[in-house]
Amino acid sequence: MCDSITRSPQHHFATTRWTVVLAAGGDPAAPQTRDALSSLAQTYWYPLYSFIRHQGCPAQDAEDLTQEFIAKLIEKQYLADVDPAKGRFRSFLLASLRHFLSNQRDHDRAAKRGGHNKLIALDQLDAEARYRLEPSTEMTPERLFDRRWALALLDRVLQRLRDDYVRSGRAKVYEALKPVLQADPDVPTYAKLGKQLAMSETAIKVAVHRLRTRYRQLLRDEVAQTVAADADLDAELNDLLNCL
Amino acid sequence: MTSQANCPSCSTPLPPDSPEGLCPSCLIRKGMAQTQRAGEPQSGWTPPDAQKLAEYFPELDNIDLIGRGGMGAVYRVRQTALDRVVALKILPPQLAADPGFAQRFAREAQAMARLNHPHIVTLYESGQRQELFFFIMEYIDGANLRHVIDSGGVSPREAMAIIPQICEALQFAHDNGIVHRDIKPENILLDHQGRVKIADFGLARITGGDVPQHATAMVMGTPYYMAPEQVNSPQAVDHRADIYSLGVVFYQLLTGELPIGKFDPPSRKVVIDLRLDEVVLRTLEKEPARRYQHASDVKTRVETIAASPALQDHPGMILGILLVAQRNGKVKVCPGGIFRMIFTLITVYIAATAITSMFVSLADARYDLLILFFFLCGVIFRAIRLRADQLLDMDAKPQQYPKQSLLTGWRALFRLARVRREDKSVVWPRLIQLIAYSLGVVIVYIAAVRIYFGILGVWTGPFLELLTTIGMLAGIPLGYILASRFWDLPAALPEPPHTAQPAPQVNSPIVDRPDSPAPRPQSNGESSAPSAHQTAGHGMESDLKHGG
Ligand SMILES: [Zn+2]
Repeated sequence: MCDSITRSPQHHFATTRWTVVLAAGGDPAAPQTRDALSSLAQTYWYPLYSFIRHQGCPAQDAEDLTQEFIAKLIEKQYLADVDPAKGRFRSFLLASLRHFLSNQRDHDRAAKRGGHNKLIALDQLDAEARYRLEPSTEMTPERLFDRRWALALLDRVLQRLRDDYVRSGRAKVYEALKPVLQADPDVPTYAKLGKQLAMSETAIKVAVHRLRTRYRQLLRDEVAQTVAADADLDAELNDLLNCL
Repeated sequence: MTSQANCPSCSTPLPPDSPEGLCPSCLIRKGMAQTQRAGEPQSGWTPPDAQKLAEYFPELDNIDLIGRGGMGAVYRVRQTALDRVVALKILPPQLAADPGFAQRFAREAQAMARLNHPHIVTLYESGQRQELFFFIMEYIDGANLRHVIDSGGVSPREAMAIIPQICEALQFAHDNGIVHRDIKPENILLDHQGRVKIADFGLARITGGDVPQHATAMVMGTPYYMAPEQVNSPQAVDHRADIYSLGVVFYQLLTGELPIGKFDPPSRKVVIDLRLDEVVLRTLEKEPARRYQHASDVKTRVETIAASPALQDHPGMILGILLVAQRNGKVKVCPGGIFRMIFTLITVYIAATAITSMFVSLADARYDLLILFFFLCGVIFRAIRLRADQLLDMDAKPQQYPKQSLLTGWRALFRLARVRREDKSVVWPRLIQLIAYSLGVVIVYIAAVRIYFGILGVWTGPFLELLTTIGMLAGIPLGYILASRFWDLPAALPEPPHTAQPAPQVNSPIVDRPDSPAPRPQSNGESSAPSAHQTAGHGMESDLKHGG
């Protein structure tokens, strides 16, 4: 599932998940569209869940609604409305979700609830535990959605990064060096890390550089999956930064 | 959440749901577009993207552009058949417009293929696909020296481990008749263990980087690292141009700055071994004939300096009190320590008796205590500065730990005080240390003279009285010799380089020595000349080099 990581940004733009969806012209029958959408939903279900939950939905209903929305997203018509020229997956998803929820209010939800296949695995307990941790703020639901989106993105990127290190047997290196992703280490930190990992100071600096390069590459790759064009990537990062 | 920490970088409070406890804002910021580094060569040429390149190289896959510059673009690729990750370098096609290019390319590629060395990136293949000239070479999964400098700089210790490896590579290439011509941090790669691998040997010659008629190539080159003759008379360039560039890299590693214009010796900028000034300044001589003539000479010099770091805090005889030394968590007995401890105890006993008898009529015992206090301060001060492994090392290789006399200690302190005008914090501890030691020496001296005179006083008769007078006269220097012989003194700083070639244009603190205090005393019977020449480093050197 992480095979795309070895490709460069230029390479991605032919094949990012969102561009695949857009290229299929919203044809929900196309298998690559299904794959791409369910893969994206797997990463970003939690922002959806918390948005629904934030509307006052109880936990059980929120989970069902999330599953239902994702099912509709993948199987139904929302894609027809997308403007491929300027679409970002994040704004598309939020707009569709709102549409879905307002339709939902007019129906008898109880009849449909639970009738859908669970297309993705939501960890109900995990979701609720996380939701309870959310800072209660005065933010608009949209703002909160975006914030959770950014966090979901970072979770996914760090997970991929950790998987990389674990796979190559360097989990310890990842754990020790992780803090350099947020702040530049000072000289004593390098020396301490060197001792801890039994590496020379120079080797630690090389390892730090590799970790940062890899992280950056993964982050940009993950964001690229949700935008339509190369030029949107930095704008999207900027937006995400602003909503944190 | 009860404890809400702040991000160490942007100092905003970390939200309780921050991913892996890291600051989300800073994480996002790390992914934003980076601004182009100033001075990074940027040509008008756009390297082909991965898909385009795959058309030229059907035998490769997983193509990934990892770097581009004036001299071409580098991709990380996989050779499908061999399942091997390699680096592919593409030269800008406009270079090939030059009529001599193809010939030059073939000639240099042949020479580069001969460079099989652990510190040189191995060339696997070279050739031409349509208009693209390319090299396939060893892929180094690491960073280049520029990245390492940018991520917090390099300590002098690291610099002294890196430079010899570059020297080795250069010497090997020079022996094979190849001059690199473009040594700079970007071309010095470091693998994941921190070992040096030099890239792009001879590439400057192919791309015409130092030939003036290629005006564009000149601009694209890296003038700060270029030897003066590379700019002024490129036809006369030989291997010594690389030695100059090496000096620029060395200067930058030590000081973080480039040696431009009238620059200070490195020790003016940072606290380093003063002997390194000589090495750096000599590699940076404008006149090739005045530089080191071989990269291996630089290596030898740096390694000897690295191998005798003990000058700053090398253990003295008195440290025999440290009978046991701890290494790797295991307590070991230091063989020489037993002797030193016995000797120290005897000395302390004699000194204490001598002092008591000296002052007993003058005042009460508080003087003894005062002086003994100073003496013990000196010992303790010294002891805590000593690393246990050094003590063991000293026992194993006594010749690498040159003795220093009291006067060299004071002289070095004055020099240190002069060099570190701005920051006296390094001077004060050494001053206290030296006062304590000087007092100690005086005590031992007086004790020795008193014992000596005591023995002389036993003798009587006219002939023996003459002998006694001569003996008394001889006793004074003899006492001093005895005192300083067994009191190994701290050297505040290593000896100044005794080079005959100071850099004339640089106002070096080592060069202007007329005001240096008294000449070095030879009294302790062993030359206190720098150990650099008599000792070839062994243990330390390999530690440094393969510190991974
Ligand atoms: Zn931060």
